[in-house]
Amino acid sequence: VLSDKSIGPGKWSDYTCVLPSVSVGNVGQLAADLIISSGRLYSVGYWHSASLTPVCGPGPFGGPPCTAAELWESEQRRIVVLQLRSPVLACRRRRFLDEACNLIAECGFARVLLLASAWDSSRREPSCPSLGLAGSPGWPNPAPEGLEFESLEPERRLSGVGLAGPLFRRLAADSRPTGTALACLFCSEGDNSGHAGQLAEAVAAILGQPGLAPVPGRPLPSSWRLLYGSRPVEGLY
Amino acid sequence: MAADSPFPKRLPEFSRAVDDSEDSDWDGGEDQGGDSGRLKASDARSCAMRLSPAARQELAAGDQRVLDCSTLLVGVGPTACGFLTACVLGDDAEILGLISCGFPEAGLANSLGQTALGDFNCFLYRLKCNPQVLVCHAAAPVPPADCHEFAELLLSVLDVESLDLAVLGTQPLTSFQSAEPASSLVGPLLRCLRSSAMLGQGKAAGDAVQQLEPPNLLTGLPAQLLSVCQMRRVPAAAFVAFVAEADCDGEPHRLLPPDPAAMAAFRPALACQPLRYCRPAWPPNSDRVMRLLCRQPGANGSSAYLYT
Repeated sequence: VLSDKSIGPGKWSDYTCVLPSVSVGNVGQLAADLIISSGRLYSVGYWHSASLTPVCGPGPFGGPPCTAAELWESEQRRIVVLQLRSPVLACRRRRFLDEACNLIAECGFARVLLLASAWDSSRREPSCPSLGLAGSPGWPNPAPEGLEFESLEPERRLSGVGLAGPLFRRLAADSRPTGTALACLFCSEGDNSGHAGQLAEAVAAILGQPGLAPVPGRPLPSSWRLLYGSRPVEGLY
Repeated sequence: MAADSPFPKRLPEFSRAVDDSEDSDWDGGEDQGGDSGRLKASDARSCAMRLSPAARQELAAGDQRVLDCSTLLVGVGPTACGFLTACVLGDDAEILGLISCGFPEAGLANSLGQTALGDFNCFLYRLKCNPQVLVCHAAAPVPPADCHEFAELLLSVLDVESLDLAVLGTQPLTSFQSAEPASSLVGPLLRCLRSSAMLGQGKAAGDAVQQLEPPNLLTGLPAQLLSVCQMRRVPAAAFVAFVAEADCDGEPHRLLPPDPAAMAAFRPALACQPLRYCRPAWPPNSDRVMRLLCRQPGANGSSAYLYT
């Protein structure tokens, strides 16, 4: 259920939907926040789903309160980011997949770009690029010229990607949207802010939107504050 | 042979983002840990509401089939419910109904007067001194999977477009994120998060409760209620007290007695909308507080330690 009633069927028929997955180090979600900030997207509503763990907090960009799933749009760039801020309830994963596919079909997105991260140990070779890409028959070559990536087979099971894998396979088999791609960054868990920037840069290249790439010096979202803990106690050492 | 291997056992990886029990080979079929029967059970209705005859009559009498209510106060957890009982709920509040989680409708309490301790029902009251105010006591923990349905049920009998909502809850002090080291935090801390509609109507002007700072988040039923109000443009405020771990309703299988010190943490909320409208009493009636505490298990202290 979308909160804004003006979002009717087919409203975004020529848009690309960027949808992160809860995965290793939250890299996809962090990258989505960077894209929203760099691309100057604006909030257009919320996705009310019973499959997501309920959360609510101050707006990460100083605006209205955030919820478990939010919609951000750039009319100029023809993209919508469906940001997920909480994990899917363990007992409702299949329901979430159904709801997500129905939502994407209802909005009529032309393309869907899934963002995720996988465990570094699941790379085929240590020398392989850290970025993996998979494309559906409707979007077989999502990578632009010059982008280093490892081609992922759609049926390959990656550890740590969360629901991005099953969602990609479901959407790829669907006739709508026209094209689906999965951008997956191989990493370990720690300070993943750099990985988020790397993934956001890849998204900018894939979509041909250099303005989506993180801008050095731009303030980070307030939700990133204390993301990796507060300073240690002074008397500890 | 494997147990005798000289090689150290590989530690399983885990992530703060991905549940370490998730099956990476899951292909979108049955949900985790469930067969088809359990999947149906998890998707089946897990919350149910029962209303009093008077409430059902009121619903039937109106065109919109809603209860007459302009302000809804929801207490989540025993501390918040104890505070509302002591300061807002009068001795002669009318029980309008109850919501129960985890039981089918056939298993609901047969009598709305069944308010015994250990009962996991969440009661809905109407103030007789101010009939426009309804108070919901969700003292029993509401699992995250049931929060959505609970909120839908509760708001289904109200005219959401003309409603002000306040939800009170507690979260562990250790979960409060601050630039200061956790060891230097002195609880309880009271914070407030308001919906855009409440801020837009100027109802938050001059409020005495500090805004919830990022990156802190509300969770559970308070988060669900505020999210719904944010989406549906309902003026709403969530007051969350960060208290010591023992005062929180984190345990899903037991009800904890309210702590008077933690209850007092909510006092500044009485000066804020919409609680201010309800003409709360401070200090609370001491007899009422004593009755509330004496009803709780272990209140007399003799059972606090089984072995001394």
